[in-house]
Amino acid sequence: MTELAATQHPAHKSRPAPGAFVARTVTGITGALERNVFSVENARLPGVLQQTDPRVKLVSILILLAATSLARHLLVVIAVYLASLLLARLSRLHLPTFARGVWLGIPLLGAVVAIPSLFLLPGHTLIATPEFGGMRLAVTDSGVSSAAMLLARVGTSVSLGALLILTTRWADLLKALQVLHVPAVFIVVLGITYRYLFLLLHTTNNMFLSRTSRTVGQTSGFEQRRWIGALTGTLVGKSLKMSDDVYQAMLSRGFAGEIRTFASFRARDQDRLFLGLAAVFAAGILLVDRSMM
Amino acid sequence: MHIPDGYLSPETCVVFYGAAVPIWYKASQRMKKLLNTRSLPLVSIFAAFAFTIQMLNIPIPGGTTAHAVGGTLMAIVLGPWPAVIGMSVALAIQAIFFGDGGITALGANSFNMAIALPLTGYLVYRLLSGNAPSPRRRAVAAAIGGYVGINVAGLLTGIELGVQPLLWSEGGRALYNPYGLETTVPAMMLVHLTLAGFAEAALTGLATAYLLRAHPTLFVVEAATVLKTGRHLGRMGWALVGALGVLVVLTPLGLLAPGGADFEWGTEELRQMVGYVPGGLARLREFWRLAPLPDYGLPGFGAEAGFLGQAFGYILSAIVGVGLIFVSMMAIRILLVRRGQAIEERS
Repeated sequence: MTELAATQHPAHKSRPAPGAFVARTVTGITGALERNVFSVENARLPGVLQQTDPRVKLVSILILLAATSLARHLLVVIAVYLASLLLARLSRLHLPTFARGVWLGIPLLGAVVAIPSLFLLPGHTLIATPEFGGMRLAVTDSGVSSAAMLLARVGTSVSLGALLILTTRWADLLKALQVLHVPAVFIVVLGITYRYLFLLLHTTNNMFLSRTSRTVGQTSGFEQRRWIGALTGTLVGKSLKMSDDVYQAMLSRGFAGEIRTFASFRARDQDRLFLGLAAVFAAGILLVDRSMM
Repeated sequence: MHIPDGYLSPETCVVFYGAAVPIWYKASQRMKKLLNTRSLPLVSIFAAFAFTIQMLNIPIPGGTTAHAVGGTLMAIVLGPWPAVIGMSVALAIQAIFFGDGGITALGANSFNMAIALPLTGYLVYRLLSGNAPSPRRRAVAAAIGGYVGINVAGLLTGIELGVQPLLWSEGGRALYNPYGLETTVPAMMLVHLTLAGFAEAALTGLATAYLLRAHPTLFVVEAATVLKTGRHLGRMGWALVGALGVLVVLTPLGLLAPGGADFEWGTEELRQMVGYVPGGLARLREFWRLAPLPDYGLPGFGAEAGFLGQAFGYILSAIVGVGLIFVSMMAIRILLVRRGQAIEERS
């Protein structure tokens, strides 16, 4: 399998056209595969983040995520978001696509959660509907600020995560995990998983397509579920076979139970500067955050 | 069920990483014992399998579709500990590379879907399938195990989200997830008791039925190892209880942490906050009267009881919750021991 970079979106969160479960699944899987290929290109652009040491990038993004998580004021979270947009711009990512992907994609769930909180949280009433049967809906100040805070925080966190995965080749990102003292065995497992994930997705897609092409007319819900059960069972069988093959291949290449990874990163002064800037920025906004009333 | 970044406070995230790490360690130790280096590709590829499973849309009666998690199925095929590692790796890939579920929330998501889900699902499956069951009974046990597993994970997710506004609010403004337990738990349970639970049960049951026909050898090995180690199940139960114990000890610390910060703001801010809270609590109590321990505290331990009173009420409810789990674990153990003795007598 060729080198594949990360996608911006969770694969099964894409919104397929309404239709049969087969169509939905195929659309979802194909979308994940396509976005993957597409996003390799982003990681190859000559931008600031792409040229930063992956370890520095990982740690910096984690620092910014922590700052986003610790902030208590909306303005501070918005400041981090603006910083993430600036980084996206400096990394030559297409800004409208970047922002759209973040806000239309993942925080949809956030909106579903946040909108009712406008009404449900008690507080000073801002706007209210006329009374109806002793009940009325009122938008409260605490509801508005809670909803705004949640949306800003989720959107900012997602943007930061997207920056990391869009500008880093996944192999580099895996190696960078070593600075967090993630055990080597987990990094190897993550690497193998990521690689074979796409093989399994392709296989599943093909199974769905071949099934659709063999089916004429309507099938009952039970029959569809039974077929998915069989498909899953077949995938279990294929996975067992595949892992056996991979093990044989590892043995024949001299694997003796010892895991070696090589980290060939060299941090340059630019990288140290980047890390320093990220830390100063995060600490600075948190200081501002805590001094705001 | 994947909690994104921003919904959970940093304290909650740390607590759940803290609870997950010993279980990850335990699982990797057990895997080393159970399998040889062969486990490396096995776990990796089954993590990819878990990811793939979550992309399958399963038709639900009524015309909609839902996707399953597949943790119980993995525990049935590979055993509970490899399932813990495999599911955790799948969640890590989803969080790191696909932005599905937050990076800071990975500990909590893993606790729900990679630890609690496969362990309880597997426990129920073993309990119901017995020792020499018919394929039909096994498939039904697998389906019920999947159903229980995903609902436990859903309940945990609801609780984690629901304690956020209770513990981390500032002047009535929720800093993280704004809904209390009275909203999050019913919302999560409604979805998981119906749609997601059905999808998980169907996938786990039907795939197990298929595997019993197509790959019966998988289950021969499994039956042999499990029969020998009846105590193994008990140990798994204890691991779960231990993890929950860690959580109970750690979460009140989270309650105290923002409390310390509260006092930094000065009395004006505090008066504002305390002056506001009782009204809100009263309204929320009316909203969800069915909860046995409204607002996660006992009546009389609400905001009117002051900060320490609230903390005390909170710890008491935690003890009640964990006590209930402990009692059910003991009941399961007793059942298992009896069954084991009955088998020994027969043989």
